[in-house]
Amino acid sequence: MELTQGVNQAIPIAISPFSGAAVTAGKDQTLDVIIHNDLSNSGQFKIVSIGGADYTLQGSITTSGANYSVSVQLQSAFSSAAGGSPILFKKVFQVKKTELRQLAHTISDLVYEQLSGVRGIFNTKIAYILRQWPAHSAPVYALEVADQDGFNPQTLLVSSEPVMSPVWSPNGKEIAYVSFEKHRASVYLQNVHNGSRRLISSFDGINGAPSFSPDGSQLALVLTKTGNPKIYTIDLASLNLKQITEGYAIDTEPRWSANGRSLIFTSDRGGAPQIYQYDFNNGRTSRLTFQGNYNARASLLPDGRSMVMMHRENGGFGIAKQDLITGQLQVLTDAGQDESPSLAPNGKMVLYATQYQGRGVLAVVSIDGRIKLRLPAVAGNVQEPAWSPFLT
Amino acid sequence: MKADKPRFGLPAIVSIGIHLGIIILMIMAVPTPSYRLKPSASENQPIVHAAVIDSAAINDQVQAIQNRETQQRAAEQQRLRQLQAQAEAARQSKLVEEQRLTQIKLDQQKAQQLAAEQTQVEQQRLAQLKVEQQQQAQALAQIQKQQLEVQAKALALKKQQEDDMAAKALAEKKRQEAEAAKILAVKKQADLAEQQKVLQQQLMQQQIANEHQQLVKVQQMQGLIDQYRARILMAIGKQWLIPEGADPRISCVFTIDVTPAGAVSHAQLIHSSGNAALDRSAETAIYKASPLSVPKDPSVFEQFRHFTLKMTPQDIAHNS
Repeated sequence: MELTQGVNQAIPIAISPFSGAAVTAGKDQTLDVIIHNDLSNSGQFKIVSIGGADYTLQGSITTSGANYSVSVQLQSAFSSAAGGSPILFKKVFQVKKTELRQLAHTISDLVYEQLSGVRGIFNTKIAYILRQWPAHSAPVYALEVADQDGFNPQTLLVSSEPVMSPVWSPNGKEIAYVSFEKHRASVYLQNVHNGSRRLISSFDGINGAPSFSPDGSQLALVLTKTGNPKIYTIDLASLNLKQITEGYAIDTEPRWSANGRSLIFTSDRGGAPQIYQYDFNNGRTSRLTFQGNYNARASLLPDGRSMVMMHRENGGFGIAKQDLITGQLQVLTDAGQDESPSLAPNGKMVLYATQYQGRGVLAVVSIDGRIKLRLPAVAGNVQEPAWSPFLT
Repeated sequence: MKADKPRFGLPAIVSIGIHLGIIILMIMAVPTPSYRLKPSASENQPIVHAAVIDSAAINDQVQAIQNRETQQRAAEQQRLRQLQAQAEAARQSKLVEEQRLTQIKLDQQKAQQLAAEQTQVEQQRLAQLKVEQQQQAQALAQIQKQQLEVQAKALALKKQQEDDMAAKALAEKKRQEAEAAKILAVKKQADLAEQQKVLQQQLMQQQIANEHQQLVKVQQMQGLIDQYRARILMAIGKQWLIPEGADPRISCVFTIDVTPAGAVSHAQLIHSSGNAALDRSAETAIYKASPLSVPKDPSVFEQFRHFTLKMTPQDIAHNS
C-alpha cells in the first residue's frame, strides 16, 4: 500500500508542568511555560492536554545550592502493543539559575528539531530599533538586542538621532547599522558583547542599508557617491570600495545570497520599486518580481529557492514570499502596515514590523503564513527588526 | 523332403576309385633306374719285344765278323734305330695309353657325375612325387572333408529348417495369442478411457462450478480488500501531520502488524526517508489511526494481519 497524502497541521503536544522545585526564569515564567510559548509561537505545534496529544513532554527540576538539575523526556503518546510508548529523548541538564531561561529554549529546540526535522531558533536573538518619546523632550532612538521571544532586551546604542537598518554579522558577534549621529548618515560595526564599535562608511550623502557577505568579510551598502543611491561593496579589512550597480535609478536594500554569488536589491529602475538580482559572475542584473506595484526589502531563504519581501498589491503593505523557481507569490501578511521582514536563520519564520494600536510592534509569521503573533509590546515604537543567525 | 536328399554315396565312391587308379598308374609308370658301368679298356696293354745277340762268332769270320760287324753295326744301328723306333713307338704307345687312361678316367668321372646327376634328378623327382602324393592325399582329404562338411551342412541346414519351422510355428502361435491379448487390452483400455472421460467431465463441470464460485468469492474478496485498504489509507493519511517543508520526493516504508480487532500491534520502519522527523510523523500517524478498520472475515483479514505501507509526503491537505 502507498499513502501519498497527509495533512499540514500543527503537531498536538502536551507539556506537563515540570515536577520538583518550583522555579521561574524571568517574567515569572516557569520552564514549561517558556517552552509552551516557544513551541506554540513557532506555528508547528499546538499545545494540548495529554488526552489529545501525539507527544508529551515531561520534566522535573531538582536544586542543589545554586545549581539546577533539569531532566526532560519526550514521549510518543502512541504505543505499540509490543514496545510500549517510544521515548524520543531523555536528557538531564545541570545549569545555574541565570541559565534556566536559555535552557528552556534549548529544550524547545530539542523538541522542535525532533518532531519537525528542522533546527530550532529558540536560542537566537533579535535586534531592533526602539524609538521612544520621553515626556517633554526629543525622541530617543535605541538599538536593542533581545531573545527571539522579545524577552531580556539589552540596549546596544542610544542616540538622539535616528538609528536604522541593523543587521547581524554571520557569526552573530557584531551588528552593522546606520546612525545619523552628528547629523550625517554613517555605517558602524558594533560588537554585541562588549559594545565596541567601528566606523565603516561615512561618505557624503547616504550611507545606508548594510548587509554582510556570507563569509562576513564584506558589507554591501548603499552610497550616493555618484548622485543616486547605488549598491557598493566594502571590504571590512581594507575598507576598499567597489561599485556594483550603476545608472540613474535608485538601488537600495542589498542582501547577499547564501552562497555569496549574487545580491538581490530594490530598484525603481522599472518605474516602481521591484526586486532585482545582481550576479557577481557575469555582472548581469535581472528582475525577480513582477507581481504587485511595490516590492522591497527582500531577503533570500537559506535554500535560495525563495525570498520574502515587503509587498503591496493594492492598498496596504504586507509580507510576501515568492518562489524563485515557479515565480509563485504567497502573501503571508496583509495588515496594511507590515514592513522590514527578517528571516529566522532556519527559514521557518519571518520577523517583521507592524502597527498595533497606533504603535510600531514586532510580529512573527511562519513561513507558510499559518501562524502570526505579536511579540510582547514594549514602551515605544519598535521597528526594523533583524533576526540573528544561529548563535550556538 | 526325403526325396530332395542329394545322392552323394555312389559318385563319391566312383571318384575315389578313379583317383586311386591314377595314383597307382603314376607310381608304376616310373622306370626303375639301372647303373651298370661299361667294361674297362685296361686288358689291352701293349707288349715290348727284346732282341738277343750270339757272341760265338768266329775270327775268321772276323772278316766275316768284321763284315758281319759292319753288318752287325749296321744291323745294330738298324736295330738301334729299330729300338729307338720301337722305344719311340713304345713311348708313343705309352703316351696314347696314358691319354687313353686319362680319357677313361675322365669318362669314369663323367659317368660318375652323370650318375650323380641322375641320382639327384631322380631324388628330386621322387621328392616331387612325394609332394604330389601328399598333395593328392591332401586334396583327397580336403574333398572328403568338404563332402563331410557338405553333409554336415546339409544336415545342419535340415535341422535348422526344421527348427525354424518349429520356431516360426511357435512365434506365430505366440503372435496370435499376443494379438488376441492386445485386442482385449485395447478394448479394456477403451472401456476404461470411456469411464475416465465420463468421470473427468463430471469432475470438470464440478470444477468449473467451483471456480466460478471461487471467482465470485475472490472478486468479492478483492473488492472488500480494496475497500478496507482505502479506509486504512484514509485513516492514516488523516492522522499524518507532515512536517513543514518535507521533501515530497522522499518516502518511508513501514511494515504494520494488526490484531484481528484492528489494533496496530507494531509498526516497523523498514526504510527511512532520511528525514527522521518525517519517519516519526508517519509512525505516529499509523499508531494514531489505530484501531484500523479491518474486515471481520478471517480469510480477508489475513490480507491485513501484516502489510507494508509506503508513505510519501506528496499531497498535503490544509486542515484548519
